[in-house]
Amino acid sequence: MSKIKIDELEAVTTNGDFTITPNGSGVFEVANSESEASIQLNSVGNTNKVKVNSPSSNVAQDYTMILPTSSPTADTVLKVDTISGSGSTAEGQLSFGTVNTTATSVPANNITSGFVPSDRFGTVLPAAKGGLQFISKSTVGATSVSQIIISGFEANAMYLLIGKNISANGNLGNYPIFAEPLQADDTSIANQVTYEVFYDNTDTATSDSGNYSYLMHTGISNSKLGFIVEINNLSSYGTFLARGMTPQFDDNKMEMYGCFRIANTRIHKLKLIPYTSGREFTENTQILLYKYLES
Amino acid sequence: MSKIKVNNVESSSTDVKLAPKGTGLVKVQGGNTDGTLKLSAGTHGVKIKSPAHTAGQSYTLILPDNNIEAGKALKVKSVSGDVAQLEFATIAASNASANSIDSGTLPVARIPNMATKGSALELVSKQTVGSTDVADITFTGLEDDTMYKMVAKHLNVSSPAGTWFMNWLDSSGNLQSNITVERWFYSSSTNHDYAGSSSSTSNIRLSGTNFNTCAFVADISNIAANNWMTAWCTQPGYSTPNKYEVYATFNTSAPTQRIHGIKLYNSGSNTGITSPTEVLLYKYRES
Repeated sequence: MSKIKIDELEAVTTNGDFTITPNGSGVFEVANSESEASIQLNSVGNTNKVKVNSPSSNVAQDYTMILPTSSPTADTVLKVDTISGSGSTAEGQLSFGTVNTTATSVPANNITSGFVPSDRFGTVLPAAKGGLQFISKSTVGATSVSQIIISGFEANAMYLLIGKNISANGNLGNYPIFAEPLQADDTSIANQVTYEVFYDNTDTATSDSGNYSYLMHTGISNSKLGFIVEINNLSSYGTFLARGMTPQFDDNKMEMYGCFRIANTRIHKLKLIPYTSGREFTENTQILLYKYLES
Repeated sequence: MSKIKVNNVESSSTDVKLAPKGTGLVKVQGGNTDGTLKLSAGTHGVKIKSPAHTAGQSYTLILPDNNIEAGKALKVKSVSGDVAQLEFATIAASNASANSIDSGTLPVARIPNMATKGSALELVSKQTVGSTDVADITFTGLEDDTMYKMVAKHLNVSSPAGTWFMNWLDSSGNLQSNITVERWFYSSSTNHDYAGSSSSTSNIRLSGTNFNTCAFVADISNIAANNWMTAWCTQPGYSTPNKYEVYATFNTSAPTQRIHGIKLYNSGSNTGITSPTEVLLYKYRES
């Protein structure tokens, strides 16, 4: 084998290429007996130099990368397109490709941070995964109001209505508030509400069998009230079962059993009004409405 | 053009320099194969090879103009004619469609609160009693301005049993007093009787009979100056009906008090609350 020992080979011709022509199937080999082989490409003037090195000898790699068979295009990456051979004869054909970074199959367990956006859970959860839907919270602002209208009642649905922090600008009376069902056109349902309400510490009840509203009764006059109502809003003969009390006082329970007494009547909206004239609901009175999901 | 024919070029110092002239290049030509540059490492060597002649390519790749970093890919930054500028770039994952989540179960911590979609009742805590009896069942950390539902699925105590009680605790775990309680109980098959009230107590009675068991559901509005609780209780296994209906609130002497913790206990002189006691505390979500 012929060999020349030299530090630099320089092309003779101005702007001439320096051509290395292996013979036959020979390759241009950059060898180094003391470290990994490296080729260095210098910028003009030789001020900057980047290198491409062989992988370390101890990883024992002998593959071949064939540069892409198409022209480069912006925003593509060099990727291994195909492989022929294996081990020391492996040849990888590179291409300018795009990497599909959109996951098409994600095990749920791999989601380890953040929250799955709630929009991804549909409009509502299946009842088997979440059976109580928060519908609304009505909160009185700085300006007192004479009534609170709760909307969003659907036919044949079951609701939970909570009077969480009711306060008024004065004593509400022994009958603190009306809960008046409204029809679709916001009118009252005259003479069709019937109820029995146990109150105070007596074993007696007040009742009404032809009213337009449920009249809560605690037996004590105060500016506060708390209640929880189970509303079965059937299209016909829905029910209104309430429990409550006047906070901060004893012997003022309210236990109401109510319903409509005619068919084809239900709650479309519910209007809450202080019973005592001139009373208004004051700041931070809160009414919560939940719906029981059934499917 | 001058040419020397040689099989091996070896330096006498460190580097071997190939110096084209002017705009000239170093070309590795193919003989009867495509031009191949081999970088040897000991007995191994990897190669970079020209694309096949049939592909008809003559482009130039300029190595990245930014510094090399782990985890980045060689990306074509720009192309001008046949010349491509490479860069070390991050290949960022794009957003996945929800439909891509196609196996496994979403970890609970990854599920947002979705009261408006149906998860309006949040399990805050479940307390169970195992093989060791406990003196009481205590829940702490109740939040202000929050509505709770407590479900005592099963309270059980060893004999002799006393009456079941609930205490409301302050932020230090101490019993709070100034609680007013109204109670109703079963007296006969036709009567629903007033069982009396306590206008300022720390003990909220939950049962009408000295018996081992108790079960109840309580709705609790935990807001200072306007808190209230209604509870429906019974005592499973007792020989006669024994409903107990409770209405409790802080009285006017405690205008700013609210519940920070809840303790359940039995007043009997027994060894404590036993298995299979289970008590659940839920919170009504408001958004």
